[in-house]
Amino acid sequence: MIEWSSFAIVAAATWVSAIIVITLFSVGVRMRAAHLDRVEEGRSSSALPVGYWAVFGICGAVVLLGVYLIVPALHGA
Amino acid sequence: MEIIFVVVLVIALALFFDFTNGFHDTANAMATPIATGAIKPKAAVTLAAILNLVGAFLSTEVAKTISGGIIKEGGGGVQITPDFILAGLIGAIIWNMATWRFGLPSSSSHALFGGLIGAAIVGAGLNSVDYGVFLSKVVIPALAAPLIAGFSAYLCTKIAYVITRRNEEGKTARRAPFKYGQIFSSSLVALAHGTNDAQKTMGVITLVLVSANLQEHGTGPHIWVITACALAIALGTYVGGWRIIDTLGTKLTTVKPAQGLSAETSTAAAILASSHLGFALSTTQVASGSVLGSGLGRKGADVQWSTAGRIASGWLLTIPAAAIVGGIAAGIAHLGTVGVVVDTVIAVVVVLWIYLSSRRVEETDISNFDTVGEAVNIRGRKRKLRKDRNRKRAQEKREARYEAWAEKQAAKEKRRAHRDAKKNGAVPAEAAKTSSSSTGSASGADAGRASNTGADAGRADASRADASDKGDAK
Repeated sequence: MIEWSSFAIVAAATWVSAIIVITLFSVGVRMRAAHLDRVEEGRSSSALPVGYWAVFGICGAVVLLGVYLIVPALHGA
Repeated sequence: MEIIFVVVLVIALALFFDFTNGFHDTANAMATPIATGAIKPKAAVTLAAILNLVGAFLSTEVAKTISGGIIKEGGGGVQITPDFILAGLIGAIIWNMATWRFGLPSSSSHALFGGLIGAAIVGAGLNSVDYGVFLSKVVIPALAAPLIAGFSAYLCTKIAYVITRRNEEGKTARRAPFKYGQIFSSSLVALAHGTNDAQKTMGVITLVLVSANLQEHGTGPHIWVITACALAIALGTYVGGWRIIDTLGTKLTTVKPAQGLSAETSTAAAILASSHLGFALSTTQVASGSVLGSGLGRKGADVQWSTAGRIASGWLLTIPAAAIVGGIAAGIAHLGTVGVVVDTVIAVVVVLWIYLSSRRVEETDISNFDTVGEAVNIRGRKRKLRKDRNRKRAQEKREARYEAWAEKQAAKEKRRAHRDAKKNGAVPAEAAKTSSSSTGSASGADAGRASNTGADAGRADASRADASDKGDAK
């Protein structure tokens, strides 16, 4: 009666997806901080903004994936 | 005619249940962004209300059974009549109001299950409840939700702080983007809530209409049902249960942006995973677990275990309490239309009573808060005053000591000069010289004292700066 396998799947899916998103976002925050430091010191930093915007973009895509999963009309459930 | 009257009453109660569901669950999505200041309270509840409204229209999947299989419905079990649903709804509404009154986040669907279980037991005996389904759909998820979401939020918070921590001198962590991230993660939770929870009420109303032969079996909810439910849950969300937002956002633990984002991401991930991989978790229990986990994950965030215990005991009580109320309501409803009217009147009176009592207590609550806050402030201020006073006294003592010492020194000089003058046989020029030198030495002592007090003041300043730094760190 107790569905241990689906319990395990839900737990693993939650942990993995949340950790991936937070890790990406944190790396973005770190890159932005490094970028701002460089700007303050007057050094050039053109690669870092590209990096952190890319990472934030991926996080945004994950949010859109979430919306896709929430709305049944989009995935035909 | 009578049956239509009952159906109308049930629909009204169902919409009110939807409303309580909305203001009960605003906290799940919006407690943490409000607590960190990522979104202003008014904006947060508005956003949540709009997303709930939209969400309610996005998904119109109707449940096949009203209780998700916990109660054996139809042949051999409970006959789903409007009376039965009415009793279940009354149990759920009263429990929702009571938990809101005490600021406890508790699952609205569990309250509905509880009310229905009570009504079923009174109406058709203990055998009408499928305890296996009850265990697997209510008890186990209630234990699993905080574990899954809490552990996730704990890990995420740790990771977020480890990655963004900067050990270099003079470099700040610059964690501002976490606040912006919170807007999206909490919106996702609000949208998921709208698609899930408005469905329950739509299902209840549709089942009532079907059971009263006002709607064909197997058809979806009418558009007016969808609209009414969407509006009810959105209005409830907009009104916002401040008590529960307060409990979840500030009383359980102090929430910082990185922590809030971790908690919300974990909540969203757990809800999406559970609704797509077939292990239904309660949004409220997931959200509470996430906040708790994020508090455990950040160094310096203290978790209030007494609040956590209060919330947990609220969860334990949800089903039995709602079941007792639902059972009593079902017993009264058996009297027929009169019983249904009596039920409804009692429910309205109890709801109003809880609401009014909450207003009265809120005032005393606020005044208590004020006095507590003032007491804390006064203590802080007193401590500061005492410190200042002690510092001043020490300074005065030091000055007095130096003065005494300087006087003594001057007197000594004078005596020595006098002695010397006596010994050398009173040479006026020399006496004048020594006297000038003695004043010189006295002024030197003065200067020394001044520089000394200056150093003291500097030290005092430094220690004060230290203290204020510590205060900031806290």
